[in-house]
Amino acid sequence: MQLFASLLALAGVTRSHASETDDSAKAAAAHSMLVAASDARDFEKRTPC
Amino acid sequence: MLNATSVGGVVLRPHFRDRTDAGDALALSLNTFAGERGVVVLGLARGGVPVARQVAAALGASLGTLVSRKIGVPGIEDVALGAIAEGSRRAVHDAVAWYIGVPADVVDQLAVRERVEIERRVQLYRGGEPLPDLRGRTVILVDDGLATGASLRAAARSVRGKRPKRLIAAVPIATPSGAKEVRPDVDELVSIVTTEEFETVAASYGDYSPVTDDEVLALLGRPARRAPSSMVNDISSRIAPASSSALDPSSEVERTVEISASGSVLMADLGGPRHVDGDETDGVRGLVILANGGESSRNSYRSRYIAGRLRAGGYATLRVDLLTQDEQCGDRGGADVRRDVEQIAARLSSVCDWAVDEAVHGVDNTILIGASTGAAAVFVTAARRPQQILAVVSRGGRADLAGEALSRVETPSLLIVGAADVDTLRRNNDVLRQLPNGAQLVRIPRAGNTFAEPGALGAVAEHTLKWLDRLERK
Repeated sequence: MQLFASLLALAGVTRSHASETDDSAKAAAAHSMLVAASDARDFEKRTPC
Repeated sequence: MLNATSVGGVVLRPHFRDRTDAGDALALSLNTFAGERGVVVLGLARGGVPVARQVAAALGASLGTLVSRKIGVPGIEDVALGAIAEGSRRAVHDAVAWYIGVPADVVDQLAVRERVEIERRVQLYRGGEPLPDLRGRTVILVDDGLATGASLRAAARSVRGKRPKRLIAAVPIATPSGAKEVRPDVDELVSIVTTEEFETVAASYGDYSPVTDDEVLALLGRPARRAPSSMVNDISSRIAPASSSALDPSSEVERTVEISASGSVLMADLGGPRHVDGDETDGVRGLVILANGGESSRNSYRSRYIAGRLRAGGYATLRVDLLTQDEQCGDRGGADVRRDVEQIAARLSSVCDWAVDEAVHGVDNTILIGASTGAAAVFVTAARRPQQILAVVSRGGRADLAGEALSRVETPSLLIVGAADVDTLRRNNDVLRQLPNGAQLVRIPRAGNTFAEPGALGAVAEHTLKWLDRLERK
């Protein structure tokens, strides 16, 4: 029973870690998209620089 | 020869001449379906239809269209926070909505506007007829590119409801993250290019001219015609002009202005309030001037989103860079000016004068929001103009640099700080003690200095709007 509980706990940790990694990747992709859209608009700022 | 563009120093070369070229290339990747009976190619209107036509012609399949609309981020409409397709009641929420922290009810209200446009297009392209019977058939959904995947996911869910035998999504170019989002909703995803080096779908094409309704009708082999005039009138009164929306819908509500301030020329974007469903508001609740002190320009997505969200809440907005273009580059005294609170406050004062002189809507109720050293400038300005400035908000800024001016501020004040931004939090707590009673400090859990954590930026916008609501009711 204890082994089963430990396995469940381990699976939970793994799932939680996978979910955090997934969220980080999602956040990074969304962030890049927003930055790219803003940079693309910033013509006048990029030109003199 | 395809012209290259440079974004952030990275040279990007378009992958396709135009949508026809992309369609020809995509057809090669789909040639296993050539000659198969009952295949239907549905191009997502409008941009996907020219691509789909080439695919359908090469495969000998029938061609149709499905109307799916992305729901743009307020203030950054060229990025989708979700999408909705014909035949589907629910909007697909995208990772961008989650990342920013756009409330679900706001996404739903934004979807209302797109549903109206979907109705118009279905009426125009198919005379209001539903999609053809797709049961037991192989359906290939085609778009001209896949960024977040929201439009394709919404379209795929709509088609799934029609019980096709097999559902394929096919695009010339895709982001890996967008492809990952779409795969669970289709049996197969075909993409010629899947790349991280993806700025926008438009950058992947040499010619990405908007596709018009008449072009869609011609590609579908239907005569150019218009929806019944009564319907056009009905819809045009409810939605903003759609002609430019394929490229830059935000231009519908904002225009760039140059403001002379103490011998310098400052760049700003002025926008009128607009309900989230696209209707212009009857009245203006106030003018919000978003003052950027240099660390973050007015065109940062943070400034653009907060302005877009405030416009949806009934405010006119003016996003202004308090540093000139040269100073922002950092090599012409930019750092010196950035730290010169007196100078940037004088500039902000000139911006306030300009708004009065131009009789900008809402100027009688002016609210200042400052980021980075712009926060110091808004407090100095509020101390000097108590009659004009209704309220002041610091967005993770260096309000402490306003110095002794803080003790003279009589204006209601809100300090918003990321809870993980320990230095700014400590400084803003000191500021709070110097401001008059009633000033508030809101900590955004887990957020850092730039509110780049999931949900943080949305929380800043919603806290600001709720605080302004309460202020207005007093």
